[in-house]
Amino acid sequence: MQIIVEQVLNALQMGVLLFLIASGLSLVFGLMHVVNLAHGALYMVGAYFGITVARGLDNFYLALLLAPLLTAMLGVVLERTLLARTYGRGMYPQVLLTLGLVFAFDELVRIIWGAPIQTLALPPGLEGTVMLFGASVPAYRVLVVVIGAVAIVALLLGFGRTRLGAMVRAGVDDREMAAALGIDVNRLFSGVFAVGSALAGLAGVLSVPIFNAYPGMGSEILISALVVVVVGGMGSLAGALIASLLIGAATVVGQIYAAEFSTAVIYLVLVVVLLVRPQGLMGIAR
Amino acid sequence: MTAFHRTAIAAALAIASAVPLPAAAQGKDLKVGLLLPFSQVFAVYGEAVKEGFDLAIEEAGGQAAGRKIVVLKEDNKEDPKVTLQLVRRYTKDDNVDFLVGPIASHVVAAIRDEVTRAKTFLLVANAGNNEVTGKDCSPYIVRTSFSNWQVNHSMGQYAAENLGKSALTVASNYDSGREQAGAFKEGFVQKGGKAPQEEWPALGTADFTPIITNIRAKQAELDMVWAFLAGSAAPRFVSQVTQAGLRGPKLKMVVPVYGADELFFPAMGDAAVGVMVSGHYMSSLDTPRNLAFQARFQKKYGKVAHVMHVQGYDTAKLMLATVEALKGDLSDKAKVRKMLTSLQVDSPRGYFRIDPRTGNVVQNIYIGEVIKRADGTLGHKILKTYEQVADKGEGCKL
Repeated sequence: MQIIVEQVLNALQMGVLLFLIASGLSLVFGLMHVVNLAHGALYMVGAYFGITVARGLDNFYLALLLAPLLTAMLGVVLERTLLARTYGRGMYPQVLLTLGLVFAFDELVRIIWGAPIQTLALPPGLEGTVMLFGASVPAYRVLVVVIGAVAIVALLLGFGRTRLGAMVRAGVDDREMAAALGIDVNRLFSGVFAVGSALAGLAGVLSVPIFNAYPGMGSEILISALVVVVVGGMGSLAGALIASLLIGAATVVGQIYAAEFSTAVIYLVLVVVLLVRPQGLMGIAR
Repeated sequence: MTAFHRTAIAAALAIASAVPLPAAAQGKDLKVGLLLPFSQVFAVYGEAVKEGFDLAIEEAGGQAAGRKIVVLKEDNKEDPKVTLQLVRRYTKDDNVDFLVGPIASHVVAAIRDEVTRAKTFLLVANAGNNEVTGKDCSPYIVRTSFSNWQVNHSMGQYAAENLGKSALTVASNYDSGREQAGAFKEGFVQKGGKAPQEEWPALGTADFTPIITNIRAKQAELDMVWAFLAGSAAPRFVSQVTQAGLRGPKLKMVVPVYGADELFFPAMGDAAVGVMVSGHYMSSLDTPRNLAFQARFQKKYGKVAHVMHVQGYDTAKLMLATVEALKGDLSDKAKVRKMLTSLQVDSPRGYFRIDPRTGNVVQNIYIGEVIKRADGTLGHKILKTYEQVADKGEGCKL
């Protein structure tokens, strides 16, 4: 029982972090048709913002709140000043720009925060284990899953049940038509980019005590996040959620039964999904 | 010919004349080609080796036997192909006297043949794969850092004698991980330990908790977990084991020193306390030689030197001593090799020399435990010294 509860929690925790990153990536792609390779950089910057806030104010919980906000602000600035210039020019300028940003941010982080790997000490109460369904599990993992679940529910409700969400969905389905109906697509872009950046920032700061922070951490997670987006279907939040949990579970199962090949397991999932459903689990064939 | 053409040709000529003259015309500068990474994840290691190297050159007044030292620095990106190209350029175009580097085992393996063909001495300042001073040893390669076997074999012996007979090893699933876990196992079993259980997580594994959960299931029967995980995964693993509540008086965490020293202390925080380490250098070595070195290093760089800094420093020291002993004349390669492998160097890590049979360093291996000092900083308490440990150099026929 202990082992099952722990491994399920491990899978959920992995899935939740992946979703926080992949949802922004998927929405931005769905709405703006931008392949934002710099999304991983926002995750990294969120982690470092979190480190600075947590150390400066000596409060980890404030870091969980402020780091996503700061990351969202940075995201909007990037979107308005740089990405906006590439809209309507096809994919290559975007890929070049966002890939360039990846390198630029890795180097900036190295200059500002230094190259050595850093971590954050967990606040008292989170550093130990708690009992859950008769199993003792790391307390912080539980917090990650809870925060992630809250963010997921808020996002799904906001996306599915509000007028703003409906506008975003309209934009994803048919950008030109949405614009013709009087939706300010540009402001919508910025808004969605901000939300995506905030979620990436949240994932970043949440991951520091587990994965540590170092320049280049964003590129590592970006690959898994891209796999999630493709498996889930571009632009689909529900798809991203299902895919995140699937990839999270696959990672854990892979590690238990074949640790040597565990990093290959997620690609196996990717290949199978692409063979069976090329548009992704919840994607719409176009 | 248009005006544009004339300008272009003039510009080309100007650029051509600015290119450095061939080596022969440059007098007797001692040229060193660095094969180190200065970008991406490996940059921390490259910078560390260079900082130590630079300090030693500076102490020598930037010269050896009257020859001015010129250090060529180029980012090898710790990529085998890039490094191979760099070796060709350094040896063919720049005519360097020594090559220094690289960090990763697979990179040194990739340049081994080219270095040997070019008959240029490579001083390995980190990469620890056993073969390069074992079955793939070369008359042109000496290693001042360590071999994977050397650092971990002594720990295997110490652990079986002092920590218990039941161990589990966790190592990244690649050559270096296999070699290090194998060396620990060899020493452990020699001293009466049971053959350890093994876990081999893939390179690039982000979350080790599924494996840690497996360890928890075996917790009762284990005395220690020995781990080597590549790069940023090393401190992450220790943190995750600690968060899972597995650490305690009963279950010891054991790692090679480069998995728990000043480089990774910021990444580990208090989770580092109590971790057992083995290695060829610890900053807290209480010898006059080391204290003086640390004082100079901290004055120059404002931080505590760790094992990678010392490896860079000692590589330069051995090179300088060799050039001095030969009065700057490096023309006879056999003599250079003989000198490199016969000098004894008084290092911050204690005396070391190069084994003439294999080219690997012969040095003390220290066993220590991470402690929190009164001032709140982390450091190592040294528990035992294995004097002058030499690698077996399996398969080396020189």
